[in-house]
Amino acid sequence: MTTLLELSDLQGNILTAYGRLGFPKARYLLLHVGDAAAGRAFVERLRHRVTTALRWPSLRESEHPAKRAARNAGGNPVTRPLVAINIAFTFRGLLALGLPTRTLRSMPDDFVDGMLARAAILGDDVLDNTPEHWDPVWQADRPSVHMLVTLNAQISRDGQAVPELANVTDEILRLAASFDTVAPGAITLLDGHRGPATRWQELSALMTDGQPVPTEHFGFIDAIGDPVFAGQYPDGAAASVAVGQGAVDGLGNWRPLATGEFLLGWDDEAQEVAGAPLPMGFGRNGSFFSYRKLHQHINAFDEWVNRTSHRFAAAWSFENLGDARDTMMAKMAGRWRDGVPLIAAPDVAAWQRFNESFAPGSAERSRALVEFRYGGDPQGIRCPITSHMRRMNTRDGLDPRANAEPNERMGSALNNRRRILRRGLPYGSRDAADGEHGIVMLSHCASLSRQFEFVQQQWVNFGLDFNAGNDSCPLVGNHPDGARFVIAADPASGHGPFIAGALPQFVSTRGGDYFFAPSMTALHMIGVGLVDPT
Amino acid sequence: MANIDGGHYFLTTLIPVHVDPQVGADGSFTSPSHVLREALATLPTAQQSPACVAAGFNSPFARCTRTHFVRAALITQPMFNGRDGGNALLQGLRHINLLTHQPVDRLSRPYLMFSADFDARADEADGGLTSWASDLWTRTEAELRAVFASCLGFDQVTDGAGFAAWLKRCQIDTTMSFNDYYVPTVDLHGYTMRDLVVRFAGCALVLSLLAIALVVTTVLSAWWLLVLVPVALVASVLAVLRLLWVRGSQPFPTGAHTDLPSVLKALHVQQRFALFAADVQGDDAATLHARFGAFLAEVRPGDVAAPTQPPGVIRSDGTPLVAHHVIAQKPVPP
Repeated sequence: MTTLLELSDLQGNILTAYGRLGFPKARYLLLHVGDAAAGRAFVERLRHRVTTALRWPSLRESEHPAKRAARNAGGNPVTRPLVAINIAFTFRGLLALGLPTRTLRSMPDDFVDGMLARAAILGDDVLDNTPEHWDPVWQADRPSVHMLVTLNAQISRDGQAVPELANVTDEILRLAASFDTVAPGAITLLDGHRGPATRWQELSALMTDGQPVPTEHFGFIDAIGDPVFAGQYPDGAAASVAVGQGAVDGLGNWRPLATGEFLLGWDDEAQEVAGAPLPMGFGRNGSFFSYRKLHQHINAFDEWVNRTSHRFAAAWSFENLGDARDTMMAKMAGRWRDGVPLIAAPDVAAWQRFNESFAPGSAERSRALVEFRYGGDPQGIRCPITSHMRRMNTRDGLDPRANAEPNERMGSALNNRRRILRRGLPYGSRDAADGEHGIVMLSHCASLSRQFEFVQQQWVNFGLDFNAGNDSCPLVGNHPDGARFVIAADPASGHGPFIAGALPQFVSTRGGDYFFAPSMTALHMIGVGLVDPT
Repeated sequence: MANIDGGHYFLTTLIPVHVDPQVGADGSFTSPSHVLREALATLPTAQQSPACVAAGFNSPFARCTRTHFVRAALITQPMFNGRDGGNALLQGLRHINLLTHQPVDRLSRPYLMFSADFDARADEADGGLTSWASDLWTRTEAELRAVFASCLGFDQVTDGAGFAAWLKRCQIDTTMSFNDYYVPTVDLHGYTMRDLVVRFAGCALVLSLLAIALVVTTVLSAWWLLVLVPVALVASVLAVLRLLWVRGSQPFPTGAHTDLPSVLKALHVQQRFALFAADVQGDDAATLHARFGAFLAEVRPGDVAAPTQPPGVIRSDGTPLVAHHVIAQKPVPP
């Protein structure tokens, strides 16, 4: 049955990341609501400016042809805004806006708790992840974050955000201030972000020669793999886009994941509807997401990779250190720096061959970057089982019937309920004097505990599902004393497995919370104070 | 016997708890089940974090080197899942009065479920329950007294043998056990469908031939075949089912190295070897040989007794445990 989403009812950034749609700059504003009626009026005024998921004509020639055709189909009733505006709320925000008790208590526990209360689950109670290291705006003694307004901007020819970004910011601040006449402090902008601007979180894709590049601070091309679900693309495109990105069966057939894994009110991979707020019309087409500001210890990463690469080069007889370093980084990530997957190209020579075979920007390359499975590499000889990518999206790697006949295998069954849509952008620069650089990661899903928290707790910070004991993700996992990363070797190579030890912390939490991105219908219900849960 | 499987004893007891109010530790009257819950709540956990280690306590059950797991839970009443439903039309036709309450199962008193997974002893008549319980008593009498003081009949227990006998009185059969680490020592295989069909066919054939023989020898009239052949078929099906039942009830043989001392030793060797393997990377063959010799001499993989990981800790390779911090929470909005 075709899943037909009402795109104009969904907020933008859920179906596709703004960063990929020509919005490389962003500004995230956190607001506190002191007066419920004023808060609702603020939402109602802003609602009309919110960017929805309606498709506008594509500019990117390199986009997957099926995706581009989908985007350009249907007459494109809207034009691309200069700045995309979106709103999301914490549980405390919905409480402050005066939603009915029945709606509030129908919210899932994880969302009600908020990210601070889930610190022990997320690994935020150890090392330098603890809240005293967080940006002040997120800390427990500050006023609660109630509302997140995200502004995603296009860039001008000079590589800077379009002037419209400043105008929209001013407009929103004036709108918030206008309620001071009703009740002082009715809507306040929360100060206390670290970085060049303390009043909001500034974000930007990394830029090369004035043009945005999809690279993160450690040097990897990011955001290649992202789940594909039913309804995300029009019917003609879904089947081909799902290859390598959706769910896969034991025979290697790919299909889009169930819509309900990411949007509330829809059936999910367990063939049920995940717990969603009441009334159903309030939750449907909404989505939960975690906002995590993640600091990247770039110097520690570079220093450790360089130091360990020397030993790696000696152990595996690399002729030059650059190859050892590239391979070490690829083994950690699961992809080479340019995104080529290790499964497709397990060594430097194969990597070069891959790049000679697939032209940059070609549709064939886009597909080759994502179309692979782990079933043929059960020992992780090509791609280490504990590498970042193999943990975050296990594909068919955890198939409990991996050794059965292909038609009896379960494919990605154990992975299908653990997917997250990765949104967000980097912040800061590699050489930022204040050391402020990292990524603000927005992870959209239908159940924060089942999807985002599970991946963070069990697959990022633990290794049992991969038969790797306490080993955590070599890139983004916690690295307490004893952290190690094992790179399996091909027995035919004559080399032993390489054990990289003494990993310092490469990525640390600097703040965040759990948010609900309501549908346009729900925003209207909130704005006019008509959430009727009966 | 389902209580023993793979060399482990899976003990399940349901122990009745007193119901008469008693004087609690603070002098107030309270229920025995409440006193029991307080005693359970104050039992220390194993040394899982620096905070536990700093507190200086360890789980009392870590003193016994046969105990893998112990679980205690108070069962006050069975869950009532609502009236048994049915087809409303049929109930109407049968004139069932839905306002008449169905009987609801209730316990006459709270019960303590006390279960344990410990190393069985094949050479002891009861599989090792008495020796385990006596040993537990010797090592943890004070804690056991605190926990079981609220339980019926415990006031008669004065020593380890008495404790074992009292537990046995409260024992129920474990019908489904879960063995966390089982390493088969023999090739385990069940019957395939083909095996069963062959046995069925063989049995049916023998019985049928017997019936035919009776007819041929004119002991019985030929009409009896109409009865005897179906009886032979049914009997053969029952025989095969019986075979499955008997085989299914047999415990797995004792697993290899799955007694607690061996498991602890394995954990210790695994941790030490992981460090060793990382440490010797890049060594030439002679150095590696010498260092592995030194490793074997120090860690002694074949010596289960020592060096090993003590019970009740989660690491024994000298790596410090990561400290978990208490995270201050935001106040609940007024």
